[in-house]
Amino acid sequence: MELTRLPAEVPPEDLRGRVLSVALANRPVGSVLPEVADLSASEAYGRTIEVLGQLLDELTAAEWSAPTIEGWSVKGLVTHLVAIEEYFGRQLGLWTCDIDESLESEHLEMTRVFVASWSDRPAAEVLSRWRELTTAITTHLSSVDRSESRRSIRFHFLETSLSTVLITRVFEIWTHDEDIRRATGRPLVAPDPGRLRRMSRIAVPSVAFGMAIGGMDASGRTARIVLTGPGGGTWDQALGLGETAGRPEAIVVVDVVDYCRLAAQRIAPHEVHAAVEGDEQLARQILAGSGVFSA
Amino acid sequence: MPSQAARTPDVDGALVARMLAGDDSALGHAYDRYGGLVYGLARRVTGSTAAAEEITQEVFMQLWERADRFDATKGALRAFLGAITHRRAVDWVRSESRRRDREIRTAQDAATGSASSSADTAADASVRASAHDTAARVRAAVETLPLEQREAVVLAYFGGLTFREVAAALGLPEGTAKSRLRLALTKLSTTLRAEGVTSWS
Repeated sequence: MELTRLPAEVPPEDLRGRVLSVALANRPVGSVLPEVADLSASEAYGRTIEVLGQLLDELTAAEWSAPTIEGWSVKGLVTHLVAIEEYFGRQLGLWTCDIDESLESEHLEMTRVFVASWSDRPAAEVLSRWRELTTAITTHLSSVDRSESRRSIRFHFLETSLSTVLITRVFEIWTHDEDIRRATGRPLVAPDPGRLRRMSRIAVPSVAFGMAIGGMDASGRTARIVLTGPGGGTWDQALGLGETAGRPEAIVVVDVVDYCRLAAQRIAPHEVHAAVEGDEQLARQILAGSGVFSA
Repeated sequence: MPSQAARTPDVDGALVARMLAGDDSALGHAYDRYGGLVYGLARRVTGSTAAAEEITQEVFMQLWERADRFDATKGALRAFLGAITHRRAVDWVRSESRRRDREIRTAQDAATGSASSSADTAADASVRASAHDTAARVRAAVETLPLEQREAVVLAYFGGLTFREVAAALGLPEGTAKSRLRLALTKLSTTLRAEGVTSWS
């Protein structure tokens, strides 16, 4: 356009500040465009189960045998999910099941015996049991109102609200959905913006915990984490556990789906395409501390 | 600027993606990149630094609040902001010209109304009435021009822009802007001469 070839002029010095303050008065930092409809944790869990169910229905006999994570076949991985849904239903008070209490904090280890014991069962039976359990759980969750979803339950080493557990489960199930897609040569499918928003809202604040357990002391420091794409957002995140955010020393910009894959440890920190402003070393530590959800 | 984004060809797309995520620092970067362009364009079209500041604020506020309307596949952020600035600046010029018209009419109405007062000489009243008549005839003649010619005249005579600036403001080649203005002036001249107006600038 011709008019943009006109030479720029230097605006008055104070105009920048006025422009930013007027803009922020109308739309505060962190409000996303377009707005993402609020999705309950139960709905997020239900949608994730539904997407995985559709994928499992498509699998051929050969694909059920395809190798995937932890030395498991796809069938072994789905059997692991069966064991987790058995445990989850138990924690919700829906049924009882035997677990090795000594392994309750170990998400993968606590299911290995179960997976091995089901190794001779046909894929159809594994799928059928998974459907039975997830249907019972989603039916139960549909009757849980929002106030009830704030009640605390124990899940592995976490003693936290049901809604938080549900979103960690969304992370886990979506991650295994992608594991199966990778194993069977299918394109990956990003969660819808509503689920990504819920996922990023628990993943970002967990970075302080991830950095602490990774031995990276960032007490008293703050970073801005910007997750781009539908379902993303902007967080000024305190990097010391339990601290209040201050002035960001670094800005880390990552695509929201990539960040969720990083959080689920399916992308290594050095593989993430991140734009960084400010303290680059701090930014690297943040990326290294972001992989907090192992599945 | 972001270290990675600076190496990426689509810097604008990255800035807008950050704005969509609610990152105000990206708006600051957009201002640093394009604030001078927006302010300069607005000042040239309006001829007013105060109007240029106001328009610059409005343009960046619109970018921040409506960043989802920018489609990087359809053009650069520079052109997007340029188009918004141009539209707002031309609106300002038109509104300013209407305001001036109203002021002139009000002043002339007042002059006509007080023509008989003892403080007003007959000569003054005659000059004002004549100016009022000429202004009204010029306005009427401008209104009869086709829109594209009227825009060029408004920008050149009410906005005080040069040929080159009129061309830039309307997104036209200079030659086209010149020929539009020339045609407009010829028509105005013919119309006004026929009405006995020989000096109207």
